[in-house]
Amino acid sequence: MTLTKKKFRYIAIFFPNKSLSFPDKIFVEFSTRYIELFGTIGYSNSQTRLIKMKDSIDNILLLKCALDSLSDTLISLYLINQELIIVSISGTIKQVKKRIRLFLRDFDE
Amino acid sequence: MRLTKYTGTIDLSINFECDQNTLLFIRKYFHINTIGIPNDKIKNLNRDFTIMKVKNSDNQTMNEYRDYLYLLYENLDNKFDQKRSGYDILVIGKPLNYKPILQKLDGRNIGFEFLVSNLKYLNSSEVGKWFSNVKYFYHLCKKYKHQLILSSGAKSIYELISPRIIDSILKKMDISSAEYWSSLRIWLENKNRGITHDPD
Repeated sequence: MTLTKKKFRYIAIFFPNKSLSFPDKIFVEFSTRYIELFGTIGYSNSQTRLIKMKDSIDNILLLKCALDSLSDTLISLYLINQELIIVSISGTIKQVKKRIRLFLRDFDE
Repeated sequence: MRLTKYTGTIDLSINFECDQNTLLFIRKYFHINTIGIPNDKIKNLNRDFTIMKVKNSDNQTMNEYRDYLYLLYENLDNKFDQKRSGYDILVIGKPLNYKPILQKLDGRNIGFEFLVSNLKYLNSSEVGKWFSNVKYFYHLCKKYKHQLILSSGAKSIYELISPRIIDSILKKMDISSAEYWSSLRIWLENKNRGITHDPD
């Protein structure tokens, strides 16, 4: 059996009213919703992680999840009771960061 | 505009005031090509990307907005009057036992619209039931020749839903997203009442 490299996606989410001093709190809310909707096995397989960037940007939360769990991750994210905008989904952090910068510029305008 | 997988996507229920800049923002970051918006929330929007929604009972105000393509809608709830006609869309709050209504309206090509943003405020058990009921509803729509419509029903920009998430929801209900978007576009074309816009 050949082991293939698992693919991941990075998701940037904008929260307008959060200073994100507690990003973990939102991550817990998301994880709870995910587990309630798709079960603990689905959640574990999704390998969702909260990414903490060195140059973190206020109000932006970055998640990493397995590509084959992207659908479930997006549904769970949308269904948390928070105001949010999913800014970008990409296979690389570099691309996500680029998109975040563009989004914040357009949003401020 | 670059052609992508999400060209031609539609959100037929946006319930907040929207100007041209907001529309551009929605098109860029949510990949929604066409929006449906109530007549009182339109602020000089590009008519190529906008469909005006008018409540069936407010039909008399139509003349003010004749430049826009429009759809007449009615809420399908306890007060719904089955004898009234002339609507294009019936908006469903709770997907309960509506089989007799779909049967009765057989062949009239009505759009049955579900507002996805409502799910944000339901508990997970209710969300699960919603998925199961809408899946059943989709099969009824196919059987009785109606159109299933999933819209955001967003009351603010933060409740908008991108087509990618709609696709994820459809996938969970074993509905082909390509088939859904294509049938929705065809349904909408059939509702344009012969109006075409001069490209100039």
